[in-house]
Amino acid sequence: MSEPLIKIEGLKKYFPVKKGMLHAIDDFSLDIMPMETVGLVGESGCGKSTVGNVLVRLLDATGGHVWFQGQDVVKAKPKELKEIRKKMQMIFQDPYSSLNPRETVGAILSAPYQIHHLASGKELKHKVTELAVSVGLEPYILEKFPHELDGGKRQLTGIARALSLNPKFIICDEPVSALDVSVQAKIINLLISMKQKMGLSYLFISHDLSVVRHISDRVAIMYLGQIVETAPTEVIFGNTLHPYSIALLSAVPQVDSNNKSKRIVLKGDVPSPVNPKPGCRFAPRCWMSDEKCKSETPALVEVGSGHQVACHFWKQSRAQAQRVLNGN
Amino acid sequence: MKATGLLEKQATQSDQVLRIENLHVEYRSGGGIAKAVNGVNLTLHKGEAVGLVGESGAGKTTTALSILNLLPEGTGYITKGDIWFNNESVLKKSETELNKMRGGQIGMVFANPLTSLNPVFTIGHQVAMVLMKHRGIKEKQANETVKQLLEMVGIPGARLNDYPYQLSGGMRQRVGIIAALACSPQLLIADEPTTALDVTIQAQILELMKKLQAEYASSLLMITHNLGIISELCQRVAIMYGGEIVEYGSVREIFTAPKHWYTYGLLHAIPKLTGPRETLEALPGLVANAQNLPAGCKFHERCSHCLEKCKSQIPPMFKITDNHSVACWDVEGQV
Repeated sequence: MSEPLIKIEGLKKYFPVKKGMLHAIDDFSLDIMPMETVGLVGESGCGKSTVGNVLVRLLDATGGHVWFQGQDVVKAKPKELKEIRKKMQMIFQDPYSSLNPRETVGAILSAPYQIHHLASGKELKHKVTELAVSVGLEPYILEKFPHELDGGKRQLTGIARALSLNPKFIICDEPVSALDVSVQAKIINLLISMKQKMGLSYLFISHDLSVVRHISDRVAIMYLGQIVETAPTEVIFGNTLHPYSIALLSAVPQVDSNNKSKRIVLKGDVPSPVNPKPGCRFAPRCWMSDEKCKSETPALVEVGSGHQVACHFWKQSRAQAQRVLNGN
Repeated sequence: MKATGLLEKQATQSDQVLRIENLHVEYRSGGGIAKAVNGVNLTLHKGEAVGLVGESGAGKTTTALSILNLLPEGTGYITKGDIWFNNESVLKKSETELNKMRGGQIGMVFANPLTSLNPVFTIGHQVAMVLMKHRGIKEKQANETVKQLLEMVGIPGARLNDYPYQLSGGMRQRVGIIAALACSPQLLIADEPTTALDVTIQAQILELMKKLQAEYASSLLMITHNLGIISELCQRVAIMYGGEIVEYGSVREIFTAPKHWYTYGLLHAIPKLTGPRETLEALPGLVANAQNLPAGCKFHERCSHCLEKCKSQIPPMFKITDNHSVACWDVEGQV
């Protein structure tokens, strides 16, 4: 098997807050192989965007390592970081706020080439036009300002910007959540075809499970700063084992109307990640938690090929879920 | 032929809560005229849940705001048609009557609970205000009711004195929902009520809305772009495109056998949670621009089955079954 492109080891990111430490990411480990798309799923506040930001060093990690092409991104110096970022790019969620409103699309797309002194003058113009066309933007768009474009075209601009320097790895942070369904499909198809064309790896951060299932080779589900379950896509959707993952999957309303209201509704909200207590972080909301869960933190253990779960009771979870669903 | 004719024979005039008749709405601004709604017909009966589906700019929210006569003053105009609530024309109501109706007989839940709640008042006060205004009860008594309502949606009553920023998104939306339901309205309009929320919280809100709708026997107009939500909550659905209802009828029938190519496109553009992973069929082009709508069928420029006729003539509603009608020339020969 080939070496992972990205190796995240024990990554930690804490934010100091009034009452102590907010554990945004805690002991987060994940490998991403070349040409692999890993979906990172979780609800708001679970730390998935923080993972993305720490990976490109928009935020500094509190601890741990991010190995990328033999270098530790966490410890890279500014000059090294500039080189790393050529190969590691990011697509943001909100195409309304991630583009400079005072620059034309042309200027936005020229910036990466200028920053890295890769092209200028006519060559630059040619490159930018070629880039725009490659993602499906007509050349006249280059003269426009972001506010003149619809959400889909804005997101295409964001994607073009990320692709400009031929990266190896792109972090997509909720790239389609702000878009309409018909536009969303276009962007997803573009991301898939670009991956094949350019040999990219993605970390696809999203709360939309259907989108994640569609695009990912492997999925990691996060809860309160930690991975609770990770597995190849078919496995995680077919043989879900962590009680949180089971509840999350059952929460999604589906068009298939035969499946009405068969779900595990979680009580309450995600608790605060400030000074988390020992034990399983999901225990307070878990529908099968036990005394053990409150005191002992479950480790992420291998339960099948590439399938890891962090739950003391993963062996019982599916049978118990069935009972809960039938009981309702 | 028009959609209003549907199901009418099963329901008497008296249990009709809302009837929208040939509604046309325009937004006028320096930039020109945007025809947001172009001839919408829709009827809601007592206790019924109807979904209004469409992408941004389809005219869903404009339709909802028209029902409450809340279009932005000076830019939004109803140019044609009428809206009947309890067999009274909403458009002819005075401002006093409208204020009685808004929040009293018709409740509305907005998409973003952070902007729809006032940040400088406590949540308790905001819900109590609705009760004091419409029920004429004193603050102390109102607060008691608010406490009960909060408990009902799973928020401790003691949080009455919290400000919106102190609550999580899901809690805020639950406050928005109880404010809308505080006076047991006959009609609840929910405009993308869960779009800003997480899936597990969305599940809580959906279960809550199901429960409350059954308890209060309110009619529900559910506006969303999420077809899964429609499938769970609603009996009937209206698919909107370019300010028109292009397909209308029973949820089951439309989702299993869509007749309009736009509906078909929408259903095939969404990734599924089960079944094989197929390539998504993206619709070509963009959502019709309300400032420059195409002639004929509004969807024809993006339609893969466009006929010559579609380019010039607006298709009428063709009735497929008692429970299903569609505005598409392509079905003309089949019905």
